Amino acid sequence: MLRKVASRLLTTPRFRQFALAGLLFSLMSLLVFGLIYLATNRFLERQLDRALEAEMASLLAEGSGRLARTIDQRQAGLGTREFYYLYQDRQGRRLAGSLPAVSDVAGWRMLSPPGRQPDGDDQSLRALARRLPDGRLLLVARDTDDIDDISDFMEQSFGIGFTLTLLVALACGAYLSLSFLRRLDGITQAISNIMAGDLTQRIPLGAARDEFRELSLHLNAMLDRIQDLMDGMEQVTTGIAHDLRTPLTRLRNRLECALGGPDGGGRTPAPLVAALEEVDGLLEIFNALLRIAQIESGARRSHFILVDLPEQLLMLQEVYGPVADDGGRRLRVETVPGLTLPGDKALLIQMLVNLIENALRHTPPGTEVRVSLTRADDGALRLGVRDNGPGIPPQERGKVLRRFYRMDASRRTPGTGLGLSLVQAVVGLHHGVLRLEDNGPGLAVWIDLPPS
Amino acid sequence: MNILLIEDEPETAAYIMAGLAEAGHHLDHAEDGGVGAAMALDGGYDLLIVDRMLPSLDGLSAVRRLRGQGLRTPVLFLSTLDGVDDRVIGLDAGGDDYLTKPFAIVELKARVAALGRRPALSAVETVLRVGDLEMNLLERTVRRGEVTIDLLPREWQLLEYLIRNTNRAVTRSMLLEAVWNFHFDPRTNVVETHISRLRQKIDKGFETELIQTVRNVGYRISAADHAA
Repeated sequence: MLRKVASRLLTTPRFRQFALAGLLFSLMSLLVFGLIYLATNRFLERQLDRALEAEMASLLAEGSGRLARTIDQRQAGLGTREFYYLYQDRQGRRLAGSLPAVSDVAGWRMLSPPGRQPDGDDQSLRALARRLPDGRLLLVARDTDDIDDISDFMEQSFGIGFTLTLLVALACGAYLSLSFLRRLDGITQAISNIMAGDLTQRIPLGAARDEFRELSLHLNAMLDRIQDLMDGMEQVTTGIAHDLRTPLTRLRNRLECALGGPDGGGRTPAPLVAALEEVDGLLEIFNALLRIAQIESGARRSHFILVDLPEQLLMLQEVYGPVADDGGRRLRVETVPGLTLPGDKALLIQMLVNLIENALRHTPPGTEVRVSLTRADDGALRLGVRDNGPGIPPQERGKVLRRFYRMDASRRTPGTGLGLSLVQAVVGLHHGVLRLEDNGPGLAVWIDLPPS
Repeated sequence: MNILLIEDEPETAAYIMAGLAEAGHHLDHAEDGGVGAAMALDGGYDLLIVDRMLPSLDGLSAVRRLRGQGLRTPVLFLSTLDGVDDRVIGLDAGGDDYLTKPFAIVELKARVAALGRRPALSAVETVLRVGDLEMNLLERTVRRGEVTIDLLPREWQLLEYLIRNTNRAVTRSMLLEAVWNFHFDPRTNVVETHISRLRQKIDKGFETELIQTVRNVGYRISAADHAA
């Protein structure tokens, strides 16, 4: 769960923006601290240097004759803790002071406190040496512990401050982007439900009066509009179905009455029989059109179940194998078990039947029809219905998918011209892709159905 | 058979009543669901024919209510709704069969005849017989006279459905629904092909033809040559 949230966060541009902003602010505060730190250190060091210079000046004012004694006095006195002294002759012998003898160089330097290794790491004394007119060397030193303490304190408190700033920035970013994502997820979920066919769903508004609420309100208004349109369309189609199918049905019933039913025997006039067939044909077209409209509305997606396609293909082989044999054709089904997909079982069967019947009806005897089902490289189920009949010329292939389109060659075969349209509607319902290709010779219908 | 027709459209009702009266049934007629349901409860009908779209109480709710009150009379739904879902919903509500308008009167007659005998047939039977053809449901064997006949599973189902409707014509769509679970009209002669295969096994070489073609209707299995 936590890992999922984390990976979701890291892939969200919104969170990355927040994180970047947090990082920039933290870097800025780091810069400000650095400047303050350096300025403070400089200031403290200059204070120290001034104190050393003042001490040096006051010693020199005593005169060289009394220097050793003054040093001893000051060391023994109150200032002991503040300053360290060294007074040495030209040969490097110590004349007074507590520090060990040093190299004979005037100027500023760092020294170790007395009692420590002279060249050790702990050079915490700042020292000022001055050469006297008589060639001796006077050195005053003071330890820098105070400055170091203040620096350490500043480093520590700023380390903590920086870490806190960074954490707070990240936490704010995570919180804001997560709440952003949650709102977005709600909207996405609602929209995908709606696209799956549940037009009654609406986008949750949420408690906050923010831009999302505004967006959701507008989207919902749009959905209301779409639903109105869909309902209107449904009313129109149902209206047509009812208003036209009912009189057609009556017409059909009257014709049947006129024919005198099945017991009418040989008395049935041929024009009446033809008229009845004509009406049945009309009604069949109506039903097919309404069915395609119903499928294309996508409302059936909410009834999807897991369909075992190989099982259905074997069933259809059992049904249509003998039909093909009787017509002098051959039907071969090649598949492997376990290729399932969520779908509308009745419609998938109808789709397979339409494809198989098309292949059996629009080819000459002697044709072999091969139905295959495999899993393609991208995980989709690939259904192929191939024959070695006359095929469809390339310029006609796009047209045969149109409603009511019938090729000249097939006009003699009875049919509504809606069979392939229905196949395409079913493929679309399952988010699949249909292709018509040359089978050299013959027609190859390929249908890729994504697994979910 | 005593039949109650619940249908609001006068012309369709007249058509159905004329057609079924001709087949020797007695029909009562109700025009809305509420009245129809009350009549169904009162009176000893063998079959209810119920339109799904009715004033006051729709057909589905009426049948649900009747089933809730323990009425077991077979129900045939009529509907202009033509979706597999509608059919499933109709059967779930307690319907025994479902017929989409428009339909040929022979289709309705055949289905009415099949439903009329249903309760008796639901009793446990282990051997079905037509003339010298014997179907043993327990041993899953079929014999005609002395000859044992091997059937494929689907041929078995086809024969069983025919025998359970012995002497009655069954239509192509009844066979498609019962044997293959096809709820649409195939454009190739699926039924004819499989009936002809079954005939090859059942009737070929025997004197009487048990599986008979009924013109304009469908098929019938019968030991009599010209059963009514």
